[in-house]
Amino acid sequence: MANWRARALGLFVLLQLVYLPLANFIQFVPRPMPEATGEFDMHMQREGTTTSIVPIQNAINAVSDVIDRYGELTGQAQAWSLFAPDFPKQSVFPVLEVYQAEGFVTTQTTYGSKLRPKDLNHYFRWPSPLSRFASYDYLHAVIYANFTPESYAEHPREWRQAVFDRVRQQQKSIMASFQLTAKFQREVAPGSPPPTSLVLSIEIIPSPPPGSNERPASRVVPLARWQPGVADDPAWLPIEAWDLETRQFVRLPREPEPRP
Amino acid sequence: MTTVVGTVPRLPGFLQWVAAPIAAERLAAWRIGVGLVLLLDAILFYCPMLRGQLYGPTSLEGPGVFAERFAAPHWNWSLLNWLPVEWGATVLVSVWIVCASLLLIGWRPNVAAAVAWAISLSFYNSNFYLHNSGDRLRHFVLLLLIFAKTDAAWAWRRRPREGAWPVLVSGWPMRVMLLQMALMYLMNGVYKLQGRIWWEGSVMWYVNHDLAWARWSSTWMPYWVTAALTWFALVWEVGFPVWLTLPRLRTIALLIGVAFHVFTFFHLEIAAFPLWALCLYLPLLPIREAATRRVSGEER
Repeated sequence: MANWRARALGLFVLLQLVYLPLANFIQFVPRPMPEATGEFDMHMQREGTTTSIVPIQNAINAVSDVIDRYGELTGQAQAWSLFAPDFPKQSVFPVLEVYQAEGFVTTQTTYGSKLRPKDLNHYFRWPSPLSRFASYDYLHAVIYANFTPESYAEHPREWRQAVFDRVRQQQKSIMASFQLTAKFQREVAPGSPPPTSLVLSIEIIPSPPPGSNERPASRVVPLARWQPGVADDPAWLPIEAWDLETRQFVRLPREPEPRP
Repeated sequence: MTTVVGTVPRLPGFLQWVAAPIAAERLAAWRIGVGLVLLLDAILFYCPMLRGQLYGPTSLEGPGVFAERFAAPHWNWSLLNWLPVEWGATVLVSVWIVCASLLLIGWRPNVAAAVAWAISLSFYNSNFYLHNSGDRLRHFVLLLLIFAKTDAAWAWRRRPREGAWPVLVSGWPMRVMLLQMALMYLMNGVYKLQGRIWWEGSVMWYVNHDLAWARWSSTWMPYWVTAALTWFALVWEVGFPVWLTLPRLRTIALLIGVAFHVFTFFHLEIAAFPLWALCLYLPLLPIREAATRRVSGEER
């Protein structure tokens, strides 16, 4: 019995000793990755092919698959890159707007992030449960973290497409965020009419350039909209995306258009 | 004569040093630390907004927002997928708190760690966006705790109950954690080396002025301080495996790591990441070192 236990434990320790370095270093060995489905996920794996010799590439792919599955099964996937390789020079916060119509009057209620300081130059926060929300919020807002007028002027088509892609990818989580906001709105204003639309915008607040304390002007850029009253259309996704070119919300087809 | 209690992993000859014994108090300190951090993580970062906001019906989890994580070819899993959405998360977080308390007092810590690990992974996978790399460290330390001998000292139900002092246990968890720690810092450093902003020295300036990441304003901090911190962090991380091999620098490098994580827990909006990273340091505490050396020497 003791011998069996020692062997099993030895096997586990050996597995860990092999897995940890391999899972980290294999990220630098290019391999084809499956097409991303579902919500936004980050991985460090270099994509492509390492070699044209098929058996070697197949072996790399097989080892990588085993590494990935073991990481998923045990929850210890390796992805260590805090603030690397780049870090945005702007803070981003989601802003949710709820529009309600009563007769001919439309009211708008705005919910900003609880993390956004009122005074940008003097603030303090204790560690709190908001950290978890911050993570969720950030993954919605991060698409605009490097969005500047200069960058948009240089790459308008790429930015437009990037917003479409991200809204397509985050349909479910943006919808969850909208539905949670609508529920909150019902709680704070019981009896109020149901929302006609909910808009997710991102407030972009540039950091001061090194050595200065002056922040350039901030701006708010829309990202997504949901109109709960509009009937579901099987051909289109329920969450619309902001078109940076036409400056209006557009519907996204359920089946993505083929890239040129 | 003092013997090593608990299972000693059977390893190939050239890896015998991985299982070399250490004082039982070291792993006990680690278990207690993990219990404390898990308790804090659950109570501070989950409980206040758990039901209806983070998990459950009409929450940020959906349900079903992250359904693709569970589809082939992935092997992600979650107990929440098999529990009713109305109360599953509430029950799991309650059990989680019980497990954390059991780890803290040292009552059946292996079982408590196994359950806590399963719950930890379930919360992570069912609402992936709430989490960060620190939560993967949580899974890692809990996974090792399932198999580690941590109740041979400082435990409510000490096993064995009697024995000559000092009690020794196999030190494999400490060495596997040291490997994880070295890889974590090294990889962080390697990825940082690929960013121009790190070479320029301006990253810490932007981190300190990011209103979402930084918990307090840093308008008073001169640029040269943030530049020095940027390059210092880079050298410390990239060189971490080297610092560990140099006896004179090892302790300093580890103390810098402890200071870094304590500071970032308060300064950065990264939930319990720094606390889980600090758990990796606990078995390295110099507890009963002299006695362990003496006993090991006698045994030789």
